[in-house]
Amino acid sequence: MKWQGHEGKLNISESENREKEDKGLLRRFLKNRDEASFRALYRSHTPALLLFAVRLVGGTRHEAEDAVQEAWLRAVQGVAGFRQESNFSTWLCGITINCCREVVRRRGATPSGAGQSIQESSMPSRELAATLEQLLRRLPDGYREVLLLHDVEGYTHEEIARLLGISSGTSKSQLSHARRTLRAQLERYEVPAEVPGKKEIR
Amino acid sequence: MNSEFEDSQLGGSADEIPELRSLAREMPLPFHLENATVAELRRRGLFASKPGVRRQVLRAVLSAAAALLLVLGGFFSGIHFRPQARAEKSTFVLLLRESSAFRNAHQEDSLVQEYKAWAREVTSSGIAIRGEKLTDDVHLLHLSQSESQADSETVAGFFLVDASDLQQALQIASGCPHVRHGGTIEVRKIDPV
Repeated sequence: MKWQGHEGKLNISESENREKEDKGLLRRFLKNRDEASFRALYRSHTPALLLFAVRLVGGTRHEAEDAVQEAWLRAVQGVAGFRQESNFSTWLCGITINCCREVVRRRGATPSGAGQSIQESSMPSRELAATLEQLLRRLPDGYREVLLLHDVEGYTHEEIARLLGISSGTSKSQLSHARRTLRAQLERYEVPAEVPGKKEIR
Repeated sequence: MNSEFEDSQLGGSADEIPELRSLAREMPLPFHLENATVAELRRRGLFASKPGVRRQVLRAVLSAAAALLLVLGGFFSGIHFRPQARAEKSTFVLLLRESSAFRNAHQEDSLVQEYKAWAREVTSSGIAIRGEKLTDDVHLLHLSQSESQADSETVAGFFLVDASDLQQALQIASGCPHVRHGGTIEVRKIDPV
């Protein structure tokens, strides 16, 4: 996934380093087609890809894992057709989006994993993060895709347009609708004083 | 045309939701998924089947040299040579940590059944494992008083597993259904003192 944009300048050089590293890994895999290179490539991308899929699928962790596995299988199968001038993680993200959509389609309309938590180890506020994850899950699919890609993953509207096969104008208006919807829900949401299920202690 | 929207990436847009930026960007890598993916790729023949001829020659030369070294090494170390002891196993504790959200989202009974089945599977693969479930009552003992609480993240239970190294312990832990359900497992090696 992409890292630039969000955390300011510091992370831009970090993201450049990472990109360079990824390119090296990819080259090695394309040359040798060996398991070790694949595992290195896989380990570099999957932690972010999996979390992205969990959010995009809006279902169980298991469904997201299925989507990510399928995405990697397709990526390796089609890696010869990958054009080096575009970014590998962007390309991989596009495949993952398709796989997530298929998982959602197979499942039908109802999100199956309501209430499943995502591990947030370094969150300033776990409650807020959990709330956000919940609200993201409830957004309509189209809104969620654009919002995740733009505001969480840091893609530009042009990239999103290419990834989703929509115009960048559509991407912009979807983002604006998504943000408004999420904002409204966030304001309505009150963090309960007592977490349900928490034990009363005397 | 674009600039006003690209600005939003630098935090300039009015309707942006800044809280989204604080969301985690990565999650821990599940080993079982990596292995399943690699196995499937192998099954489909998507890895190179054999190394090139030149590499095979190189490998043959290297292994011949290694064999020679081994023989010489054995000769010079003489009677001190002993067959290497079997790799020693260490005990690791897998602490099953869960958040309050996790507790609310899952049926305890079915989890217990699932975890038991998993432990039986591990045992049948020849690895010693035993575990206990803990009650929800958490008592923290401090210097001044005893505190009782069920805070957001607690240890729900634990497994003790004998593994040859941390890598194997992590491998085993990653197969535990607790991870798949979104819980956290803390893997710690027991330090015999």
